Amino acid sequence: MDDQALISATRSGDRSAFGRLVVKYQDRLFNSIVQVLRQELDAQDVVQDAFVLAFTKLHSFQGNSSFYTWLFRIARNLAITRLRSRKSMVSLDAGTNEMSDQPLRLAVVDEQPMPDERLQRNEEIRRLHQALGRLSDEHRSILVLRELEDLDYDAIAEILQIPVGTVRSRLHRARMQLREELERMMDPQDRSSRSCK
Amino acid sequence: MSEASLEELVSAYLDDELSSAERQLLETELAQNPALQQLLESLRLQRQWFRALPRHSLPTDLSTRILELTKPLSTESLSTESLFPDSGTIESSTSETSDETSKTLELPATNFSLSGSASEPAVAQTPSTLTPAILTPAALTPDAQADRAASRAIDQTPRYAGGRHPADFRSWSLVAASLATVLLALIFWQNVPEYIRPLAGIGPSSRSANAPHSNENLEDSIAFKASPEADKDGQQGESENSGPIFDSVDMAAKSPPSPNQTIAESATEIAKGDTRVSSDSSKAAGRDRHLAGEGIAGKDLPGKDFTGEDNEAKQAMEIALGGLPPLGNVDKAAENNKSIAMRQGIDPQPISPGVDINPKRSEKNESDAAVAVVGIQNIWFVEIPNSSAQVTQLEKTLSSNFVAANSLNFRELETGKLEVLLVDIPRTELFQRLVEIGQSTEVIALEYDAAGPPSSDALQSAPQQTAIAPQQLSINAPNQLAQNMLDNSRANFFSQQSQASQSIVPNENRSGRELETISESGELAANQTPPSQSEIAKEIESRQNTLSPNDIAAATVQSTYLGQQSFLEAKKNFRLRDQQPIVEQMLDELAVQSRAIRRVDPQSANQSPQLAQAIGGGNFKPPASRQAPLPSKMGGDLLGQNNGGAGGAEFAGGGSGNGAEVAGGNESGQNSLNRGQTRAFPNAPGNLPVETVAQGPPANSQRVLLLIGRGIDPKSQLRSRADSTNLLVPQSNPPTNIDRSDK
Repeated sequence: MDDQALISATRSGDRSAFGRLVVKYQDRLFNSIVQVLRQELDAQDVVQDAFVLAFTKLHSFQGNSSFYTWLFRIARNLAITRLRSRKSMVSLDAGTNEMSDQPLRLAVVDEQPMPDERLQRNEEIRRLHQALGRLSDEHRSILVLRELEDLDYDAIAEILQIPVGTVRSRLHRARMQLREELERMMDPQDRSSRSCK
Repeated sequence: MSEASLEELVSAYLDDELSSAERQLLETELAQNPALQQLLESLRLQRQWFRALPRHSLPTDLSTRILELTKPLSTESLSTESLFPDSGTIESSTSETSDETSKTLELPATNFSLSGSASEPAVAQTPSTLTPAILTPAALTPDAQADRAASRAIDQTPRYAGGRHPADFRSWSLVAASLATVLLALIFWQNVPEYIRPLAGIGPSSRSANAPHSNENLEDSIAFKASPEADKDGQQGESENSGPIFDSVDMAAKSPPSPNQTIAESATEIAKGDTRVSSDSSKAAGRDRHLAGEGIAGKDLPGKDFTGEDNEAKQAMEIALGGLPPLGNVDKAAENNKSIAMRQGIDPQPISPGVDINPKRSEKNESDAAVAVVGIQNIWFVEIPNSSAQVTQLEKTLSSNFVAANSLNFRELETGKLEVLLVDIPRTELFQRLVEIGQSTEVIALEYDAAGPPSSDALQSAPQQTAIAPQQLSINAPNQLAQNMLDNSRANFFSQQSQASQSIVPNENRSGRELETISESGELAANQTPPSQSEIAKEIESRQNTLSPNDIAAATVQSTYLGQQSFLEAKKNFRLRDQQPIVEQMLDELAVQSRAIRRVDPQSANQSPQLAQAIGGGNFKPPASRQAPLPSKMGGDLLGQNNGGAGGAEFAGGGSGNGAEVAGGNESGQNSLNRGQTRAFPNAPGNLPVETVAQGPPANSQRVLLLIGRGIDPKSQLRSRADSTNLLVPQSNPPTNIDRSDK
C-alpha cells in the first residue's frame, strides 16, 4: 500500500495504517534528525513528536508533496526549535560557543583491532562527524537533506521553504564550509595523504 | 563566469541539478580547469563519506507508541474552540508551514504568566484533550516563546497530558473509564457523594465553586482503588481547601463527559488547583504519606519533618520515581501508588518553604517535586569565579576532582566524554534553558553573587579579590559516597540527630522559617535536652523501616548515576519543560543554598559521618573532640548537614579537612540558613575568612554559570552514568596547589 492509501486509510479511521507509515519512515527520519540534532535522545523525541504532530495534522496534508517530505518538514522544524534553544545559550567564552566536536556516537567505530583501511575509514567518518558538528545548523540541515536523504533540490526547497536557487547556493556553501572544516581538522600528514581538500 | 559561480555549478553538477546549458558549460570548464576537477573529486569523496556514515535506527519500534499516543485523538482533534470566554490568548504556531495549522490557545487571563513560586499554572485546554499547558514566563524571549509555542503544539497531544506520557495513562484510562461509568450511574441515581459530584460537572457542587476539590477527586477515587483509606483521607482533606484561586470553567457544560475527557479535566484541574495556605498541612501530610509511602516502605513513614513540609511522602515519592533499590517492601501496592503518583504528577506547585501547600494537593506536589528533583538533582553549585584566573582555577579543580575529566574542555559545548557546556546566562533564562536541556541533564551550576558577573575591568583590577580554593568547591555527593551513605545512613541517622540536638542553634539565631519548622516538627526545639538512650533506642526502632534524608540523597544519587532502569524510565517519560514552575521554584531554592555556602570547621564535620567521609575521602577518623558540643553559631551548619535533603549532602571535593565548605542539602538550606548572618570560624585549621551568608535568592541573582552535561543515548547514558561513578569520586590525593588568596 502506498503512502497515499495509508493516509487515506488513516483518515478513514484506520489508525493502524498510520502505524505502518511510522514503521516505514521512523528509522529514515531518525537517521537524518540525529545528524541534524547530533543528539540521539533529542532525535528520538523529535521523531516521536513529529509523528504525533503529523497524525494530528494529517487532515491538513494535501498531498502536494510526498508524505515523507511533509513529515520531514515537521521534524526538521521541531529539530530547529530544539537547536535554537540550545544555541541561545551563551558560552562563557563567547568565541567558543559553537556546537563543536560533538561526540555523536559512532556506531561503526569498533574497539576491536581492525585492518588499517577500516581504521582509516572510521577516522574519516569521525572527522566528518566532527566537521558536521562545526557547521551551522542551516548548512548541516541542507547537507543531511541532500546527502543522507538524497532529496532533490525541489524537495529540499519545499522542506526548507526556500527557493530552489537558494538551495543550490546554500548547498554549495555548506559543502565548501564542510570541506574547510575537514581540511582544518586534518593534520599536515593526513592532509598530504588525502584527496579531500 | 566567476570562479565562485563555477564552483557552485560543480556542486549542482554533482547533484545532477544543472540545466543542459549549465552542464555543457561546466563540462567544458572542467575539461580545462584542474582546480574544478579537484573540487569535483573532493565533493564526490565527501559524498562517499556521507554515504558511509553509520545508519542510526530507533532502538524501539515507534509505531506502537505513536498509536498509543494518538489513540484518543482524531486527526482533527485539536480544535481551536475557546473554552474560556474571558481569557487571554496566545498565538501558538508550530512554525511549520502555511499548511500547518496554527492554533490559538485560550488561556485564563488571570493566569497568563507565571512567576514561579506562588502563581498558579495557567492552563490551555482543548475540548477533546484538555491538556494542561504551562505558560511561558514573561521573561522569556520571543524566540523562546516561539519555541515553547511549538512545544505546546506537541504538548497538547495526550503524550504530555499532565506532563506524563500517555502510555502512563493506559491503565489509568481503563480505571478512569470504569470510574466514569460508575460515577455517571451514581449521578443518575442522584446519590452522588459531594466529593465526587464536581467531577461529573453537574449537581449542586459546580466545578467553579469546587475546583480544588474536584482536582483531587479522580485521584482519590483512583487511590481508593488501591487503598480504600486514601479516599477516606481525601474526604477529610477536602474541607481544608479554602477555595479556588483559579476561576475554572465547567467543562462538562460544554460537552458530555467521556472517560478520556474526564481524566483530562481532572488532570487539568489538578494543574489549576490552588495553593492556599493550609492550616493543617501535617494532617494531610499524614494522608499523603499514606498514599505515597504505603507499600513503598511497607508502612507509614513517620520521619522527621525538616522543612515543615511532608518530607516523608516526598521522599517516598522520590524513591518511587527514582527507582530506589529495595530499601523497603516494594510490593504491588507500591507500584500502584507509584504509578498513580506519576500520573498525578502534573501539579507544578513545588514544595517550597514558606508556602504551605494545599494538603489535598500535597501528594501531587510531592510527586512533582520528586520528579523535579530527579530532573535537576544533578545541578552542582560551586562557588563563584570572579576572574579569569578563577575560572581557570575552577576548570583545573574540576578536572582534578573529576578524575576522568582531565581532557575535558569546559568551554566547549558537548565536548569529549562528559559533554559539558559552560554557560553564562541571565538567571531569567536559566530555567528555560534547563527546561530545554531537559531530561538528561547533569548540570553543574555556578552562581554569581547578587552583583552579577564581574566586568572585565573589575577582573583586571582585582583578579584575586575573592579567589576560591579548589577544595572549597561544593560538589554533590558522588556515587561512592552515596553508596556509603546508603549503607550507613540508617545506622547513622539518629545518632546524627542526637548530635545535632546537642548543638542546636538558639532560637534567636534562627531564621523565621527555622523557627516555624521547629515549631511544626516539635523535634528541633532550641536548647532541647538530648534524648535519653532509651528514647534513642525507641526512636531508632520506630524509624527502622523509614528513610532518612540521607537515604534519599543516596538513593536519588544512586538511582541517577547507577542508571536504575525505573529511573531512566521515569526520566524518559519526564519532560522537564512540563515542570517549568517546579523547576523554577526549585532552582530558586537551590540558589538560596548555593549562595549560602558556609564554611565549616572540620570539627563540625566530625559531627557528621557523611561529611567526614567526604572530606576525608572515606578514611576519616573522628577525633575525640567529636562529642564536644559546638559553639552555637556552628549549629546551623551542622543542622544543615544533618538535614541534608533530597539533593544529597554536598561536600568539599578533594578537600582534606582544611576548612571545607559545605552547602546545605536541597531541602535543608532553608532550615539552616541564618540569612545575612556573619559567620566566623576562628578555630578552623584553614583560618577561613569570615563569610557573610548571602541574603535572599533569585531576584538578586542575575547571572548563572552552568556546567551542563548530558547523556548521548540511553545505552551510553547508562555507560556514562557508570563512568560517572568514577568521574565523581573525589581523588584520594587532593590538589595541592590550593589558592589561598582569600585568606
